[in-house]
Amino acid sequence: MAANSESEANFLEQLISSRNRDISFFLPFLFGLSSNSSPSQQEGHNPNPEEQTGGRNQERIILINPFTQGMIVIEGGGSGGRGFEDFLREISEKQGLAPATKASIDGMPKVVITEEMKRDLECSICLDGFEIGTEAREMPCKHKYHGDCIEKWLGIHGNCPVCRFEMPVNEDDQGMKRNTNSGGEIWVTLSVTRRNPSSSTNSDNPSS
Amino acid sequence: MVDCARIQKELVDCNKDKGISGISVTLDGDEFTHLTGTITGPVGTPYEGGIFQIDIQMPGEYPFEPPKMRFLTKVWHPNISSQNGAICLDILKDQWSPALTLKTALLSLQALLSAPEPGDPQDAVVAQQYLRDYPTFAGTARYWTETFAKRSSMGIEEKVQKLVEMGFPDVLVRKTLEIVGGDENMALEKLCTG
Repeated sequence: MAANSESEANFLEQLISSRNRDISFFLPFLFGLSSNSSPSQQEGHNPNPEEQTGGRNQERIILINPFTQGMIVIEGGGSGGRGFEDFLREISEKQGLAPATKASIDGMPKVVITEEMKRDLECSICLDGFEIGTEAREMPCKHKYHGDCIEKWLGIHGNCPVCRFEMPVNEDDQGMKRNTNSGGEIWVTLSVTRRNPSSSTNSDNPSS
Repeated sequence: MVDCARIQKELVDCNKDKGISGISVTLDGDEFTHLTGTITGPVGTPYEGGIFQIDIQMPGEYPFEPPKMRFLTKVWHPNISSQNGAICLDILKDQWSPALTLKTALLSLQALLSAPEPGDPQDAVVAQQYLRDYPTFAGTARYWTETFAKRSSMGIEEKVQKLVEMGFPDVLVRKTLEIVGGDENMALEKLCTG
């Protein structure tokens, strides 16, 4: 059951974070509830949203999946005082392309900077120029950066900062990244109820 | 640790041509973690003539993480929260790239004012109005610009027009308004006496 709930939570989280746009698609099935103030679903259209959220230190979010009749309750333990929207935003922000594979980062050629190259070349990450005789790293799209700068970026998102050329990425990394991002802040409990009038009253645990 | 050298460079670069771009950035205090951006409303939109201030928080990992931006000036726009100024724009989220700068991000905000995306709203009420009743939307957006985004209640052109209608020559009105710093009452007084 624990494994089930985790995978279901991951599925939903993935659904939410797979694309920004998908949030609005999924919103009809999301319900925000707070423990000590009246819920305000409509994007902050009460006169004083700051005041309302000010007193909260525990935010509870209930997700209902109509396809599986599953329900997930998320307690925002680490997000004291912040709203339901912030939670959604936080999830949607923590995406983007997965890191590039180590092999592809290591495989980028090193280019020695010549006087001619130096003239109008600057590293688009730190906005600094290059010194003649030093080495720059060149991506397959031919854009050049300081080694430290581009290695750090590709370790976060595997694309070229200038043209968004995509490096090979490790798909597993993407999943792992999500887990570590969300793991510290929220905990998830899941209860599944099947509407089956003929079954006994113990309908909480259909599978185990 | 915030990359102060880069931010410093960006500040200089951005403020170099603020007269043309209508975009500027200033430091809030001595820290490089909190800045305020200013953009002008694009011509030909309900935001024309407005000056919009944007709160900018620099994350420690900048430029590897996007700056956190939020409108301080109230604005009526489908992709900006009418309540807290939160912005829905992909380059400030998952589409951020370290090759983007504060200036290009603010330019994108200016472009967002010109081209709302109601299909991906931040403020559902505004987006709905934009789609169902555009004239009302434009009217509200213009009213909000007039009310919240203008330094004085009346645009300079309106003041000129008002004084010209009183019978003063256009050139003289403009010159006088310039001298008194845009105050129409002082300008009228000056025009009457001199």
